[in-house]
Amino acid sequence: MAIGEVSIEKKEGPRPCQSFREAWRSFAPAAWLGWQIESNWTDLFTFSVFTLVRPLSGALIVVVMYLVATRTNTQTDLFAQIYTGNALFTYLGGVLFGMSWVIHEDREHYEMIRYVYIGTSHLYWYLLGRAVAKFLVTTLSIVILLAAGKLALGLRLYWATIDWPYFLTAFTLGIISATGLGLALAGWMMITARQAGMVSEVAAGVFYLACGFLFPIDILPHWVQAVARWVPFTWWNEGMKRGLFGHGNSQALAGLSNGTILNWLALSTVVFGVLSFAAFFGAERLAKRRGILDQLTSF
Amino acid sequence: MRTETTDTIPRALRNNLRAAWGRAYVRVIGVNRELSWLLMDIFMPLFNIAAYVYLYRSMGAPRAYDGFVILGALMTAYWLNVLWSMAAQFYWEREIGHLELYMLAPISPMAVLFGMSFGGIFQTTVRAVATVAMGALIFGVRFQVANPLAVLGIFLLTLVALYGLGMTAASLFLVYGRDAWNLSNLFQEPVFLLSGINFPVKALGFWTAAAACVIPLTLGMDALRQLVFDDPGIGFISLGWEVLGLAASGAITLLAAWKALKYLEDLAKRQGRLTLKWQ
Repeated sequence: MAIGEVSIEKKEGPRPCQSFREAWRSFAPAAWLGWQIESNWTDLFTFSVFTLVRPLSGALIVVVMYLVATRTNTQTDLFAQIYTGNALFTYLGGVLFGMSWVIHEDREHYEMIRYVYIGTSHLYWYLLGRAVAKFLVTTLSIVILLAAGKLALGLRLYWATIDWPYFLTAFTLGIISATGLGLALAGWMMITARQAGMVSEVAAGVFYLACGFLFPIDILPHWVQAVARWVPFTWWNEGMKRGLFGHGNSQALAGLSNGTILNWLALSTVVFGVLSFAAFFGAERLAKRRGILDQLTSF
Repeated sequence: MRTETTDTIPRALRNNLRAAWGRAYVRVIGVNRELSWLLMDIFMPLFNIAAYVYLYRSMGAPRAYDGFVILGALMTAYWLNVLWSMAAQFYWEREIGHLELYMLAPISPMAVLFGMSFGGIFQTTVRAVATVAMGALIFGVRFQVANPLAVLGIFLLTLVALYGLGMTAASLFLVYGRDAWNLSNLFQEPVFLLSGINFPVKALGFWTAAAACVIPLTLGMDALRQLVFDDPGIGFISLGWEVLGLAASGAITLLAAWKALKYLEDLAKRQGRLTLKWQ
């Protein structure tokens, strides 16, 4: 290389599989940045109110619908299933939107994605870091939602009877699935311009409807039930509810043992994860080849 | 001198009307420009409609409740348009550099807001009607409209009040930075809850429902429910009061929009934030 020439050997960008130290150098600042973006636009009080009001209102809509439809009280098993299902779904919506929106926000709004991309760590670690803030905020709001449900509505959820190991295993597998899908959607964002937000909302809407978070999948048309069985979030919902209550809300899945539910969740998580990662890296390569990674569309 | 004045007034009016049409045109013509948007806007709400319909069904609610969800989806579309395409619009316009052009042009920014409203109503109507028609068809919902003119009248009154609120909020959001985004987010679920999007608002209890009537959507939804569902006990207050409330709400919000725009435009200029991006 002649003096004054600039090396342009890094053609494909940093590899995703890096040493822990390298990954951490991207992951930790991204998590901190995500937290700052989430929270530093206002004071702590306003932020707390903002964080709680939306999920609380969403939960209360379901509570009022339940009261109007059943004309009973909230100390029932049916209510507990609906309320917790609605609360736990917040994770899925939050992670999907949180991860995919980062691409749009950093590309179009802050115009920083090119700098993130040419950094030493892969974009993948940056996205995971940014998702952490969303995950923490969502966790806080869910804990408060469940506490409010227990204290104000007599939610039939008992600390002592929760099967914690089972619940936490199911929960972790589901979060991995959600993160994988979030990455896939982030990949989609890299090659599209005008679907920001919509894609994650559609995805969340589909899973909200089809995976039994609010109501048993038994009530859905058979073909939807068949599709739902291939989606990890159906097993995730069933697994978490079994961990929390000792049983799920679906008659169709009632005959399956707890172990079978976890196996299906693990299997679908692996399949979903592989497909999601492939989609993300495929989209990334495509975006780079087309030269649209940092293309501004003023949208 | 007299001639100059009479010339000036029509010219100003003409300029403002052209500006309003120009701003509306983007949204009117934009309805079909991006097919993916059109499809997503029509189909996306169907998932939520279906989820809430199945929730009601799983709890053994009467089939009439499916209609609440469909009607709620219709009005939800307008509220989301008011939030994101009216209230937060000046924030977006500032980000992409249009806002300064509006301020430099020989027009009132109110004309731009009116244009945004008309365009937004047209855009949303195309999508919402398609969504509601499909939802009603899929779930077999039948609305019993005995007086279509009354329904149309109340619907239009509700839109005037809602978009008046959106115009006021657009001015308020002008002085905010990223808060505009967060405020729009904040006014989604809480407003859906208080306005009884998926259930009769009287279920919230008298005082909560009465307080919620400050939001035009609450009055509009309740009035429409009374007109399209054959259930005499469904309404919170009588239709007459709701019409009066909506009319007053429309007048107040439009006046407030004009006042707020003048005041906050001045404030934003003095603080030097009118063209400040990335706050």
